[in-house]
Amino acid sequence: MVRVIQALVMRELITRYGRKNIGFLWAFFEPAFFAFLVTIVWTFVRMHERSTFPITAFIYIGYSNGLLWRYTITQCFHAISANQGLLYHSIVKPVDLVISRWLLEFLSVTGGAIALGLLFGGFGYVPIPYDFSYLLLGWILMAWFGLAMGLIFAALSILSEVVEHFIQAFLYIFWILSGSLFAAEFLPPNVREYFLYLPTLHIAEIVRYGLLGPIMNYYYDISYPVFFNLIALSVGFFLLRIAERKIEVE
Amino acid sequence: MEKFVRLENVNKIFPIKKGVNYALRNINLTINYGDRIGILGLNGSGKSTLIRIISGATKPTTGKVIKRMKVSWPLAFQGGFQGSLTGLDNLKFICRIYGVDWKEKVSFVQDFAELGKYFYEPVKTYSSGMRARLAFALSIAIDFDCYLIDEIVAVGDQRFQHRCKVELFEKKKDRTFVIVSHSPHHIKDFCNRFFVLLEGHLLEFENFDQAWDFYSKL
Repeated sequence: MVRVIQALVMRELITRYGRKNIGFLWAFFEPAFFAFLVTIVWTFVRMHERSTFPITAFIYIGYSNGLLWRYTITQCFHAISANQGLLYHSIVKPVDLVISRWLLEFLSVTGGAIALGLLFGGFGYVPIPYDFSYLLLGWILMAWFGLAMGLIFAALSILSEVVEHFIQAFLYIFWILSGSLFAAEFLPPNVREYFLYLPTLHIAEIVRYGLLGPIMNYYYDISYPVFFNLIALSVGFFLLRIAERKIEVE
Repeated sequence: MEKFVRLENVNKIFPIKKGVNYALRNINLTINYGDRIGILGLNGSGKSTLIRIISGATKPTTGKVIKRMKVSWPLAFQGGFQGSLTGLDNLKFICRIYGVDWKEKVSFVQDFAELGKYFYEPVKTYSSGMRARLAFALSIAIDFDCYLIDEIVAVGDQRFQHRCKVELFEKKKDRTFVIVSHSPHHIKDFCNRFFVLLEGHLLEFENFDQAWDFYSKL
C-alpha cells in the first residue's frame, strides 16, 4: 500500500506540475491575498490605531490551516473519477487514490503556509510562534480532519449523484462558518455555544493560540476534535468500502 | 505456499434501466498454478466481466475471490494510461506499483513496443495501435504468475501478434493463463482446461472437442 501511494504521489506530481494547476502556489497566494486585503481594510478604517490586534497573522494562520480540509475535500471528491482507469490494476485501491491526493494537498498547503509565514514574518506581520507544540497539534488535527472528510466525500462521489451539485455551495458555506476566519471570542456566548460543535473551530483556536499566544480568550477542548476525527475517519473508511463495490471500471 | 485463485459462488449483477442484468451466475472455479484455461463465450456472455473479477478490477456482487498468486491486469486492455504522461512515465508508474525496478525494464519495453521517439511523448499523442503495443509491452515486462487475456486477436498487426505469442506462450508457457475468446484460435492449441460461458453460467468440459461441439451449436 505504501508503495502504491508513493507511486501515485510521484505520478500526480508530474501531471499536476505539468499543467497550470500548481497546488503549492495556490496554497501560498490565496491566504496571502486574503490576509493582504483584510489588512488594507483594517488600516483604511484606522483600526490599527485603536487596536494592537495582529490582524494579518490572525487571518494568515486561520486561513492556511483551513485550506488543509478545503483543498483536500475538493481534490478527494474527484480522486476516484479522475483516476478510474488505474483501478484496472487491482493493486491500486480507491483508498490509495484518496490518501495520495490528501498527502499531496497536505504537503502543498503546509509548504505554502511555511513560505507565507516566513514572508509575513520577515515584514513583521507574523510573530515567532508562541508555542510550537500547539501550532503543530492544530496542524495535525486539521490534516486528520481533512483526511476523514476526503474519504467521506470520495465515497459520496460514488454513492450519490446529488452531492456533486451541492458540494461547491456546501464548501463555501462551511468555509465561512468553520471558524478559520473568526475567533470564538468574537461571538456572543449563546451563539458561541453552538459554533463549538464544529471541530474546525476548536482546531482553529488551537493553531491561533500556538501562533499568537494569550492575546485573547480561546475556546477549545483538544479531546473534542480528536474524538470527532476518530469517528469521522471510521465513517470515511466504512463508506468507501461500501462505495468500492459500486465502482465499475470501464 | 500453494499458488491458486479460487472463485466461490460468484455472482455479478449490473443494474440496468429496467431491472437488473445477471452478468455472472454462481461461478465456482479454482485456477491452479500452471493451468492454461480457455473460456469460449459469445459476445455478451460475461467473458470480460469474468476476467475483471479474476483480476480484482471489479468486485463480485456476492461471493468470494481468493487470490494466492500474482495475477495480471486484463491484457489487451488499453486504458489506465494517463494521457498527459509519456510512455516512460507510465512505465515508471506501473513498475513502481508492482515493486519492480523500472530501469531494468526500459530497454525491453522500448524495444518491444516499437515506439521510437514517441516513448518520450505524452500517451495522448499515440495512435490506438501504439497504445496497445505499449500496454502489452508493460504487461509482459512485469512478471506475473497468472496472465489474464481478453480476446488476444484484437491487438496489433500480425507481426506484433507473433511477437506477443513468442513472449507469452513460449517464454512464459509454464505460467498460468486464463484466455477468454469467442474464437477457438489460441484456445485449442494452447489450453489444457476448457470452458464455455453461457449467459453467465460457466461450464467445464473434458477436452476441447466437447467444449467446441457444445459451443458451436449455440
